[in-house]
Amino acid sequence: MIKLPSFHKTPAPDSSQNLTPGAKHLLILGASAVGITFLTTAVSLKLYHDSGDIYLDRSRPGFLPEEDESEKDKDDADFVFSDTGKITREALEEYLKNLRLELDRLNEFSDPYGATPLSDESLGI
Amino acid sequence: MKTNVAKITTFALALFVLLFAPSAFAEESSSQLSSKKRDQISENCGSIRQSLKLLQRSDARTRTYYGAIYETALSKYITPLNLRLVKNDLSSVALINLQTALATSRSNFSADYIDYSKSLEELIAIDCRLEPETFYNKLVSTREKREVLQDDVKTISTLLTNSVKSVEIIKENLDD
Repeated sequence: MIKLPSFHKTPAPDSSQNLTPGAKHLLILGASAVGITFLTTAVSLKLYHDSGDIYLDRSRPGFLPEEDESEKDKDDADFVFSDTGKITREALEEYLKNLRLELDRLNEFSDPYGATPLSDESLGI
Repeated sequence: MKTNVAKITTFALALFVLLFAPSAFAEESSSQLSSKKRDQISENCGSIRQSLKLLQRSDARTRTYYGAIYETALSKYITPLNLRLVKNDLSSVALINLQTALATSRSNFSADYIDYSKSLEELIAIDCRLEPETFYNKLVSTREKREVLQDDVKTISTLLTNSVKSVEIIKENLDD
């Protein structure tokens, strides 16, 4: 009769018992840091959404400004009416000339937020 | 006695018909309308959602554009002018009131835009193929919010035009 060799399974060392107190503390520190990061990120995202900032933020994917918008921003006149100095007709004329230029830009869009895009006809309902 | 009972019953019936018939008719017509629209919404769901997504992007662009102009008008023109007028003992009550009204309207515009955007995003998230009625109800409320936004834009435009007129009056009244 052939005697088969017997294999004794050696028990796996208990890793937690082998950890030094310093390593244990390091592990707890790491886990807590990850937990706190998740928690604060979740809170920030919730605040970002609930405050409505998400809807004003155009850096999110799909809402990035187009190239022509960025160029227009660069082209904008950098006029600022000074809050000091004498009030003269010339100063007010310059003020009105520049302000009218700004206000003319408001006419670039015809009927902003008009009802047409959400009408039944436009949506094919 | 019998005739009195008959009269009262007839009167009560007539009153009931007068009070409830218009609303019953309205409900019937609205349900007919919704059943008609229900099919169209389910059929065109894909294209409707695509149009809404495009609208969402163009609205964001319009908001940035208008918001920037309002900010410029307030911070680079109206506020410094009022300060300068005060320093020169020429402060105009009308212009100060306009500045306050403009600042309020600008924050209303921002808050109403957030409100509208939330509603539009929720509308896009609804599966119109499966829930056409929920979708249509949300569409109606989104339209109302868009209308509020349109009113805000009109209010601010009027305020800015009035501000130009007020400055013109001040200019005309200045001694040379």
